[in-house]
Amino acid sequence: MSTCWDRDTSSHSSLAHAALSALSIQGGAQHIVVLCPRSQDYGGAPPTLGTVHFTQYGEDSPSRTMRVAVIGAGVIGLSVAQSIYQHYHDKVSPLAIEIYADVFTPLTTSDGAAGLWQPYLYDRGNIQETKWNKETFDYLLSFLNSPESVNMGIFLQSGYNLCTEHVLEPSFKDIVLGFRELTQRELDMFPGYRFGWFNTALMVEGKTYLPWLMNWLTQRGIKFHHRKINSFKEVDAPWLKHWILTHKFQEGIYCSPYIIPGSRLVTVGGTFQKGNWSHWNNSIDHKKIWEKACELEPSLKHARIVEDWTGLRPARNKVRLERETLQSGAKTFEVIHNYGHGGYGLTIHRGCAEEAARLFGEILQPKSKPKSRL
Amino acid sequence: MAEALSLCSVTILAEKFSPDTTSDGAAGILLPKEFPDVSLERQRCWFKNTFDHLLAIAESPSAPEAGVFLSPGYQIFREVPSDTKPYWSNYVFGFRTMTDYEMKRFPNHKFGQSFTTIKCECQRYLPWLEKRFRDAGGQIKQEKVTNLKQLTHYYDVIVNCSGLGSRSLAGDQDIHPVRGQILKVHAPWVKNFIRDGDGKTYIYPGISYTTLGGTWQMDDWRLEVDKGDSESIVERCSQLVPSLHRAQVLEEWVGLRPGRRNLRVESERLQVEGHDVLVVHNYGHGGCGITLSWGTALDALGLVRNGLHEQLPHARL
Repeated sequence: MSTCWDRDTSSHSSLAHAALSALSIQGGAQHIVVLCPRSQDYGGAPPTLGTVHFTQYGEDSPSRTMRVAVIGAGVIGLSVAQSIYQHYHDKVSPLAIEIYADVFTPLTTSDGAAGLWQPYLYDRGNIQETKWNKETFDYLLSFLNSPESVNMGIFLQSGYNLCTEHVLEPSFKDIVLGFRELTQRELDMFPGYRFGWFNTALMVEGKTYLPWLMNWLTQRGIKFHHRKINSFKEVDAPWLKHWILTHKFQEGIYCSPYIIPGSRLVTVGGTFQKGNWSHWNNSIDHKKIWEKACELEPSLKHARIVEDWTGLRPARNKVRLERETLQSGAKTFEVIHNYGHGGYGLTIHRGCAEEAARLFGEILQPKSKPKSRL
Repeated sequence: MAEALSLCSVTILAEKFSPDTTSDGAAGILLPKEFPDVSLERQRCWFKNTFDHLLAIAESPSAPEAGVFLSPGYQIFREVPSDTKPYWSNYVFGFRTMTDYEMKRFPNHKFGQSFTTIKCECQRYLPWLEKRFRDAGGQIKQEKVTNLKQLTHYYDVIVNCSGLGSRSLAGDQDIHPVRGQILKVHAPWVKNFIRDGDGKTYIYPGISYTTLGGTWQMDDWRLEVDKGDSESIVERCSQLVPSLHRAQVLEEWVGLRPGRRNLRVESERLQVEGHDVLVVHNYGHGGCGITLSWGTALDALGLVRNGLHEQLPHARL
């Protein structure tokens, strides 16, 4: 028996039904659902997404087929699948992991991300998130000296964080390389900014990393099921060798211009509107971003614009990463939530994936029963 | 000179122009070496003037056309150098010693410096400068000059920037070729430059390609590519940045640096048939050509001005 529970007014239940019907074929098998969708938990009543899918919870026995459904194929969904596979494919047999999503690379939000590893300047007291961020950084850094790094879209890049006023040091100062304050001469290059930092950070390009993850997962038998704002431009400006992020705190995170060179193109961005669900490119937004970015980096004036893109960051006051047992009649369902990574999905993905895998391990122990803490 | 001395007519004479000069192949990273017998103050001026001039271009919309931009990176040493804070450390951005954590990436090196300097790519910069020169009324003549005295019939002042050519043109036996081979590779994911303090191994990310180098072969006049050198360059650079193993090689190139114990910027007078001609020398930059280009040009301009004042004390230059 299976049920679909739509959390929000959803027009997206076709994905839910597809996931459920696929899972419900296997009667008696154990189903665990890992949720990594683009759900919006606050800031308006959005039209789509945020659906919770679950299905039958069978007997807990390692010898039965363990079927895991991962919902969402952005960096969070794919990396959770990877972590669960890495930790459990030789402990639980057979382990069937299936990924359901409405969009896959190169159409996910993660693909649009420039891929600069950097948490928000304020950790908002989320020590757990700082730990996951660091774990992700160390994990990515470990690949740097392997030839595989190019295929994964991982490389180092230095750059500037510019602020209009003096601020406290961010949580990541000891994680990144060579973190230091900007000298006055450097600040003179950026009129309007009075304070800032320089450091070397890691880049992990979504549009390279995701195909690499998909390939990694495909090679190990993971199946994919295709059942269906922040706007920016990509420009050709290969003389830019460092990223620049500006921070104007009155305007909110990522509303101030940023310039992040990738391995081929440069991402120029800067809007972050909570509650704005419009996917259509807003031409007023674009003009404003562009003008502000050219003020910051005059050489952009002659850069060729290659693409305009808009993505929706899954914003939340903090990441939701926890188990939940849900009831439908006499059946119980295990869900692992892993969503709400806002503008730092790539930055935190590995730490969260490993934690989700740990929760998966808890589910395998029959005694543990979590409480949902929303 | 064309911009500063508006009453003079300036002509450039050369056998080769961009993209066929030695400057065109150089990566163009601003990083000077100290000359033993030139006053530190003078060298400081040379570097600072060049840095400031190029920085203004890097910060302007002309930057991509001129091929000038900021370049962050590292200089690493196998042994701690005797001078850990060279004179130019004040002029580049954010100069500091690398942390132990940063040095972990380079197990064969004990010490490192991190800073942001400027890269000036001559394949773009020289045509851009040429345009500026022509706009200021300058003339360009393609001609191989073999004898300075011949020029004295047509010119009142000669500025000799012939580099290695000064061996014959100025009879200077102190200038020697220092052969340098480089590889141009496709590696756009490498954003920071890395240079070994010995000057022989370096990785310089550029606009259209990354320069891998190099060699420092004294008195070697060979302009042909040496395959052994290419292999050695790839090997040494990949040790520093392993992802370079899979970088596609676009081109191999050889240039002869105009090596001299000291850079020569000085004036002299040539007597030809009772005729007195001012010659200002500006050559012997070795591997610091681009690094000191504008500064030595200003120095030479000063010498031209002084020389002309002596000749024509009432002239308004």
